[in-house]
Amino acid sequence: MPEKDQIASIADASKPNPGRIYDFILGGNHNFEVDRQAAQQLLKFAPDFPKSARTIRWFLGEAVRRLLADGFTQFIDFASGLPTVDHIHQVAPKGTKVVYSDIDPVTVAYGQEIIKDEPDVRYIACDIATPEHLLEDPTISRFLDKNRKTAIGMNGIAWFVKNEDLSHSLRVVYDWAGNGSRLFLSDFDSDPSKATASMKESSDLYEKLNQPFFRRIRETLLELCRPWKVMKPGFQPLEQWIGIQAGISEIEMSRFEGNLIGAILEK
Amino acid sequence: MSRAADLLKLKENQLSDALNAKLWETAFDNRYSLHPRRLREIGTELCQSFLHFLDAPDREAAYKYGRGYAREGLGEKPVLALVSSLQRFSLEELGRDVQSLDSIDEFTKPFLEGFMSAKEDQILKDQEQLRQALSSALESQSRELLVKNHAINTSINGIMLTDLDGKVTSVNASFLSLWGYASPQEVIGSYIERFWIAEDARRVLDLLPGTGGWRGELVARRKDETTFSVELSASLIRNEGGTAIGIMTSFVDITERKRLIAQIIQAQKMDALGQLAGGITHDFNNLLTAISGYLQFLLIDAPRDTRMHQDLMQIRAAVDRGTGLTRQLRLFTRQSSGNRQVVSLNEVAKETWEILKRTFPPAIIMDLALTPSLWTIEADPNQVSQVLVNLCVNARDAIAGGNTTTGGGTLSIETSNVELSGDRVGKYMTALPGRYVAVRVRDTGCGIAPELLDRLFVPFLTTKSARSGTGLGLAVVYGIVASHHGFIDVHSVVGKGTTFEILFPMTTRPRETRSEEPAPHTLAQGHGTILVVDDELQVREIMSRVLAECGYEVLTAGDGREALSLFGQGTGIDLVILDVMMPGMGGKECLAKLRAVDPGVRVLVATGYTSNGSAQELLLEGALGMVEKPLDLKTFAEAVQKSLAAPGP
Repeated sequence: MPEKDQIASIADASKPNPGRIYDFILGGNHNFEVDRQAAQQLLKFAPDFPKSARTIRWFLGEAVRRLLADGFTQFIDFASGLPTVDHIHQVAPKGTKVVYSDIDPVTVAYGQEIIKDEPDVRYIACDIATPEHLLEDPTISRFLDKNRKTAIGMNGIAWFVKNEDLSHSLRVVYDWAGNGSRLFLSDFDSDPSKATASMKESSDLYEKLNQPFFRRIRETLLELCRPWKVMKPGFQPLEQWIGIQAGISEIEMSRFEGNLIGAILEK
Repeated sequence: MSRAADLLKLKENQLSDALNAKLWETAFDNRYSLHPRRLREIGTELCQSFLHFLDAPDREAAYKYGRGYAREGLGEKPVLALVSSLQRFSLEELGRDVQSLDSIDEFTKPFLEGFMSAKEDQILKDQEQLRQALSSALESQSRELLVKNHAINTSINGIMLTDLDGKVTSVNASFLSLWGYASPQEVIGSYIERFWIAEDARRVLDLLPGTGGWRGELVARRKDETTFSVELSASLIRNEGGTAIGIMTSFVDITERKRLIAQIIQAQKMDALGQLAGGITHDFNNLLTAISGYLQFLLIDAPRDTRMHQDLMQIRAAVDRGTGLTRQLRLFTRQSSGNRQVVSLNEVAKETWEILKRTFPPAIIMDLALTPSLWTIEADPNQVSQVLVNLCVNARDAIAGGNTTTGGGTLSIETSNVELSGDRVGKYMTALPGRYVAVRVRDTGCGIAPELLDRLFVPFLTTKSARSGTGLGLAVVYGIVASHHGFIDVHSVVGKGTTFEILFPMTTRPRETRSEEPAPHTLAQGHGTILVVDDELQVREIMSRVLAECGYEVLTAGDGREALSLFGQGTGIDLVILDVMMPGMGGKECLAKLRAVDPGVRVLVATGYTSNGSAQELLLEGALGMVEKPLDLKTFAEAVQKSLAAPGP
């Protein structure tokens, strides 16, 4: 956990918190006025953000349902945010073991409170850039099966992670995971060399939020994913995974010059 | 079936499509928990529920529909859009039939109430969950703060928090202990200057905004005004916005560390001085050997009661003083191990005390406190006595200097057994935990100035007049104690007195009884050929002359090479008197080569340093004995006679 996050007051309701802002944007009620005001500011710059956020969550639901259908009974999720409605443990049947994680200590504290009555769910603080901290946590070895055949989620976070960190993270998780494990991953397919004014605007916005945005093209992402094997149908736009029709599903991504894509990968 | 139901049933598919279309348009306005796939079903369901209501109005059922969709995640905007779409479609199909329009309202009203009621429940539940999460997070933060506070309070380092002006806001228990305060209340609110001897702390404080942190040493002032050295680390405390709001400083008492470093430096300095003095002693000793030897010859020839004899006696007195100085220097340089035996420090102290008691002024009250059942030590009793004499003489002078009116005071010698624990070992640089015998010489004299304490054992350093002191007294004490693997601790307060505490390692070896042989009065005579090897011409001549007078044939060589040459000529040499330290081929190499020529060669070592490592090595290599320079002619003649009589190596 970064030092700066530890210094910040963990339960300060007077300042906006990224986890609570995200919850508001997704239509949740785990937020305060200060978060809602910050979210409105954010939406001025990124009016399509709620659509993207919902699409990403729908992809998570879709991926989890498919993995459950394939017999997975334990999940580890990175950058989980608040485990409110339609998160993994609410999609999965009782008895499915789920470990959520997040870098933000406030989100972790809330998350732990939300899942406190769920015997098969845990919430651990972890930065996706250093997943070893989560995987080495004694909770993992005590809580999950020893064969480590696990479904792992890295959804809606890759564009906030530098290439080298993402590569490290995927490799560490691969080395830890048991054979047959699967990873569901989404990213933003966008050419960083083709910067437009709107791109710069959005990048600046994320910089202001102390959350730099890292664009990469699909080929780069495939390279970073090695040695995970991408399963069919490969990296597809998230709308295709969800099956929403054009007109409704079409997210106005033109201003961002890219597409949200996702895939399920296998060890 | 109602009229409205009849009319609308005919358009069921169109109504369903209209509702679905509205749902698709607002798909992203639902909670993310509502998957778009489900939207296709909701429009149709709602249409059927509505038509069923028109046939059989059931407000409760409509209310439940509303609650159910709220729970599923349908947003407020989509719900209002659905209701609006339903009303518009009905209005268009039913015209201005008030009764029919009323029945539509009868459905939408409870439907919306149910929806809003569920939304309210949901919000309350989520907010309660959030409140609990917040409360839990606060508790966790509070626990974390408690742990951090505990860590600060129990830290062995002193910790002080101040505001940016240097006003103390908090201190921990170690700080109070280091500075000698009883409670934080005595300290909080004070400014930092109170705890330091100079303005250094304020300067550090002024530097901090620029540097952010500072690490170094300062001299601190305790509550009782005594001082001690601390190593401190100061840093700014910043709030979340990065603004400096205070200063945290942690302290470590480094008095002990500094004392040990000073001890190491002192020991290194004393070693260097020892080496220097050792070299000078060697040369000086050779000069004295020559002067003393020729003087003894002249005294034999000069008639008594003549002016010349008197003058020669004056020279002899001067030579004796020089020899005494050399002997003391050798004690300082630890070149004389003396006659080591198992002794009781009580006996040595008592004998020394008896002698001193008779010679010291009566105004000095002398006390002897000997611990019964004192452990024994392995030491030269004469050297230990020398230590006590030197310390007592200094004490006497200190008492005289401290009280000019009466010249009175107290001088005590105490002995005790000491178990040096791991904690106390730290006081002494090279000490090991174990059993020691302590002797303390305590006086109530003028004390020693702090600036002199570091140089106390340096040879020729004296506060006495040139006439009354050589400056070797404490240097000799140091040399003797060090050669006995002991330690010295000095406590002194100017105007109050000084205590020298000396610790000797105890021994478990049993005591031996030795009988002294009476010394012969004339030079021991003998016969045979003796080769004298020494690089000093005068030493060679003295030895040759003595040996000739004792009846020996004498050959001389100025170095090892010449000695080997003479020895190899088959001149029937019975004994070689070999100097240890010679330029070129030294004594050790020369002995090895002599033994290569004749393994049975008899060698007597001549050295100024009886405990010298090289001389000892020669004994191990097969030399028969050792004579000490400057030569005592009788002792020398006896040693030669004894070596010739002894069985060969």
